[in-house]
Amino acid sequence: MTYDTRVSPTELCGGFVGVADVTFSFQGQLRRYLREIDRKALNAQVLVKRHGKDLAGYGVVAQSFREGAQQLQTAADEMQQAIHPLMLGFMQTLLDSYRIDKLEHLPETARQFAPGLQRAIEERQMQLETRTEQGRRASTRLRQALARFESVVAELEYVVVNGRIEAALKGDARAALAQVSSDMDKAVVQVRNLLRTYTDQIEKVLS
Amino acid sequence: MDNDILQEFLAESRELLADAQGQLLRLEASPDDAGILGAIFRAFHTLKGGAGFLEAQNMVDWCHHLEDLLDKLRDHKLQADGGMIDAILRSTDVIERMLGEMGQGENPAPGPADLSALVQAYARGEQPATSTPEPRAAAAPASAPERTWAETRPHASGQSGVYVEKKALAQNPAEDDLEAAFNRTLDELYGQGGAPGLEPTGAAGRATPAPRPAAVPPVPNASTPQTAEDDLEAAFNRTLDELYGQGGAPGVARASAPVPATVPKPANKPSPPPAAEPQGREDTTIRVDSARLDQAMNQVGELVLLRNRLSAAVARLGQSDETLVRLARETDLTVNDLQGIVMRLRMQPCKRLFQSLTRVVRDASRNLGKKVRLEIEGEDVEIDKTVIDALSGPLIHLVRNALDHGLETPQDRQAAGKSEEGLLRVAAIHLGDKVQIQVIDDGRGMNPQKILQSALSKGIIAETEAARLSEREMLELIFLPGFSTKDQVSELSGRGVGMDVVRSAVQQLRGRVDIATRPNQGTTLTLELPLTLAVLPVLYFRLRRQTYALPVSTVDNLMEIDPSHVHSISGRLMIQIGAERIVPYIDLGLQLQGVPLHLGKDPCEGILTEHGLLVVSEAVGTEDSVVKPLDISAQTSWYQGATISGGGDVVLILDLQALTQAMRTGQAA
Repeated sequence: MTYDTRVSPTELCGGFVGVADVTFSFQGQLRRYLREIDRKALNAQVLVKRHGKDLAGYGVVAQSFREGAQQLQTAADEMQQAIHPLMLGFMQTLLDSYRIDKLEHLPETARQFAPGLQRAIEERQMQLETRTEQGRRASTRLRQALARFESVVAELEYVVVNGRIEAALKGDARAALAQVSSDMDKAVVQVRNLLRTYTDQIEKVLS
Repeated sequence: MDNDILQEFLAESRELLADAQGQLLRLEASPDDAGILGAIFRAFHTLKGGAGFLEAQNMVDWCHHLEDLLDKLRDHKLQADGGMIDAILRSTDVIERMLGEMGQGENPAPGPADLSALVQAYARGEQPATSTPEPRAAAAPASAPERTWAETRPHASGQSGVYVEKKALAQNPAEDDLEAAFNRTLDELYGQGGAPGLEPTGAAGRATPAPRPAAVPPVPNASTPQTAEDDLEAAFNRTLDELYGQGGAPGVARASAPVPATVPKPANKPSPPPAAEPQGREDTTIRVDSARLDQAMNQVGELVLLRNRLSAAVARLGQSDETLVRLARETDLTVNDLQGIVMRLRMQPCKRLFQSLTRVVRDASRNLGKKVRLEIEGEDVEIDKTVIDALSGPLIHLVRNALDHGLETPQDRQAAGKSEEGLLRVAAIHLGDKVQIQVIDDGRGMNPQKILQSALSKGIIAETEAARLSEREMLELIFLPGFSTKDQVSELSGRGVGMDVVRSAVQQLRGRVDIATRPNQGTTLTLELPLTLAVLPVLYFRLRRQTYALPVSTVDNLMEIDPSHVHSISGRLMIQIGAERIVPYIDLGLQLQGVPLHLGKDPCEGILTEHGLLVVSEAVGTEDSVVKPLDISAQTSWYQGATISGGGDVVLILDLQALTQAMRTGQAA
């Protein structure tokens, strides 16, 4: 998103509210899904513990599930941190835009009694440009955080595939492990889809 | 007497005896098997030698008679039959009793005179009429003519007493004649008329006893029979003992306790023929006091707790120091390996647990007049020594119950369209970190209604309670104290003591008992036990700010709770799991803290167990824990102990079974 003065504050406000809504919804759902992934990973660990050394190989997978879930949580926290400056930038830009808009729309009579008005508008404009640049950097950081999140999800998907292979190799416990792997797969797919939707929505607002 | 030597002797003797008992049962199927006969002979021979070394004269005498009998069986002068094997088996019970007395620091009392007479009669080649199980108690040969014998024997109290008893006369009247008996012994030793100093032909009947070699002391029960039997006088004394009882021959002074000065320690005593003994066994095995193994295991337990704390501390540091993270992981692996190794030290094959069953089934089926085929599987499956020690009694009880209650008489089986011979299968199955022990019979199965009626008639449960019971719960009534469906008390069962003891023994081992039964098809009783008791894998969960632990063996699944699936049925909260399963909804917040967790308001998660869905704030993680016993108050009985978490906190470990039981009786918070 570029904070162009050509964009009206109303449009800007709509964009900001859109991002805020999408982010709020994303964060709520992500929290649930990450808990779901962690629970599934914990389930895998419980299963491994119940079967002792026989499932030692799958134990590594289960541990990777949990570590992956923790990495996802870390990636989500980073994303959260990237979103905050962006939202802050949004609010300040909105404020600056309102102020510039207000100054520019002062009646001519009032402008005659305010010789420094033009300078003030120029200063606000410069401030707005600085914030635009800050916002650009914030959106880059958010995109990076999203990409990082996406790569963690991809790593977790890879672990899930490994888990499925490992499960297929285990004799008696194959069915239980396959179920755990399948549950894990579903949980990761949910997160991936949620992330894609969120990224698309953010991109729409930022572009 | 050196206590270490005594303990070593007792341990080895019990092993020898157990092996001998197994061999005796095999002997029934192959009475001429030289390998089996040799092994049993060697066992008694070694027992006798060790007992002599420890001056346990009564045991020496007892083993000596058995050794005599086995010697003749080994030389094919006699052939083993059911009655004889029965007598020998009962004699092994006597030796077991004697070992027990020695373990108590006492000198063993003599064995029962009737059994001794029976064994000696068998050794003389007589056939006492005791080969069928029913009259087994009558030890004296029924058909042989009897004579009253009196002899002086030491009593269990240590004092001597005169014992008068009926004893069978020898079949061959010539054995009353000392000279004839002596000649017969000479012939046995040297061949017909081949004894030194005798005329080669026709001299046997007229031969006079050879002069006693002055250098050889009169030790009739010397522990090295080859040497002793070479000695004419020893053989002669042995014959006298056979004829008149120990030291009872006319004109022979009672010998003092024979203590062979040169008898080596029983452990290293060379057995006459090496047979199937693995060579070099001494090189690869070592006998260690189990208390030392316990100490080692306890220390490993402490190490596991330290490892957990180290891992948690390093995890808190994050990835800031990779070397530290790597070290923590390597420590983790090493401790795991060490834990596994020490755990294996305590593992013993289930064979030890199963070895007595053959005899139990043999004796009980004879008493009950039932035909039973026993199949044992999984003897090689290994399990913690504590579990094996604690399970021996309960398993015998289950087997006896299956024989008495489960399997039908041959007539009943035929009437039910089954084969005359019932099948009893005892199997050990290794399942991950658990072992299942199954006792399966193909008998009549259990009747839940009959069990319920019996429980009602004995006042074990109230009628109001009975109305609510499911079939499974009816079956589980057999585990209540005082329960029995038997109207009459038998030697085997019917006293209402047992299944409750079985279940509590299994529960103390952190295991569980399951029943599966089908009418006229049989019953399967499954004992599920942890492989080891040293380390308990737990799942930590949080209830608000408090952390608790639950053994992972009780956890089926972790899940999110859908409030729309929670229903109240007859005032009891239940939750639907999946399409068809409805289980109790157990709010642990309410049960353990007295304040319920509100779905939708409080963070809630479900832990699905066989007892129901436990509602907790959050499942946190798994860890190998070491259970520390709790000794606070009776009210905390739904905790099986406490552990120290990786975070260093003391965490209570929930005993779910006790909690759900307490909930049923309204004791929980």
